[in-house]
Amino acid sequence: MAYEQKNNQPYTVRVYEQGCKECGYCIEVCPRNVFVQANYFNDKGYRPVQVKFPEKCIGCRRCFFACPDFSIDVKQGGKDSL
Amino acid sequence: MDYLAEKFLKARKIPSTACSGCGLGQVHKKVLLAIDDLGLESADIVWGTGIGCAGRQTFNTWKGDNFAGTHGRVYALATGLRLALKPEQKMILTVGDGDAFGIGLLHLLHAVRRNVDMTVIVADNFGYQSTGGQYGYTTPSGAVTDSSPYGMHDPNWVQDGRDILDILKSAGAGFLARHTSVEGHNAVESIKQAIRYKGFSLVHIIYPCVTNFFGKALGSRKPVDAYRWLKARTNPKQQDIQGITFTTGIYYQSTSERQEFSEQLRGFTERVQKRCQS
Repeated sequence: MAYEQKNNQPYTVRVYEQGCKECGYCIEVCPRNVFVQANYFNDKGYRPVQVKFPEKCIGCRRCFFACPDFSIDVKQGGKDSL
Repeated sequence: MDYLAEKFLKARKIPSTACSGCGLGQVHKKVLLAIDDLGLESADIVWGTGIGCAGRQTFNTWKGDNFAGTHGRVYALATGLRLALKPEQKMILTVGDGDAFGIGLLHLLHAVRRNVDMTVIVADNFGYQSTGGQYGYTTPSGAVTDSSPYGMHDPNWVQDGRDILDILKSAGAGFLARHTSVEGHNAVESIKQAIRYKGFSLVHIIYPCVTNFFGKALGSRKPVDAYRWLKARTNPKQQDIQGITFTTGIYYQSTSERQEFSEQLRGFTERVQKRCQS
């Protein structure tokens, strides 16, 4: 299932599920445990990460730097900022 | 695709065919971040690639002009191309460790000797990983690889008092830096300075090959294990770390300006033409 992003959160994290290759770097580097692994597969056969707790994000962008597949965006503001 | 890939890379090339956890994308992203921070556009840069993992995964991804060289020869092609390009146009080459520090080392040295205005990003995955993980010129001492089943016995370019960047510095390189792909803003800053530098600049970036190198050397193909290994050996503060360690940051920055190759050759040609006319 997809998790919903809200407009009152300080940062919005977006994962592009079809580009994710399940390396787990974002889960490893996130200091606030924003991500979880999905229980379904994307079109390439990987279980993408999901943004389960977007309201916990502090905007450090460690996940953005660590993601080797250009699949994470972090923007300031609520879900409309993306 | 994130905003960077959308802005600078061809949509059909992303996601790449790289293995899960391959650090090349981290290197690629840092270069794009540096380009974006400098306010450069697709038309301002010509992107060249070598052969191997680094060449293949970055090949023809740039929305602007691209070119690819044969193994280790992209520096020679770039030298010729430098004369055809406008002086303000930048040239970025993404190559591997085998391309730069082995097969193409002589071409690289000549590009340094001539001070050709280019930025070489050496994406180093400790050997020939795209062909199955044979050892190369930066494979850590003692590492088990496809071609060193009893441990890497061959002296490499980065340990035991040898440093390939020393050789490039002696040859006349004006800007040299070393980073690992698990670093953040500091690596982007070095790449920005390298791109800004008028003349030859090189940034050596070590990144994890999960499938071949770490699969054999660490016995794990879990990307996070490779990430942790590299993170523990990334050494920006020059701490005393056992075994192989990567001191990161700017390695050398020239304080005196050396004339750039295409400027020198254009000036020389002009002087010869004037002499012939008079």
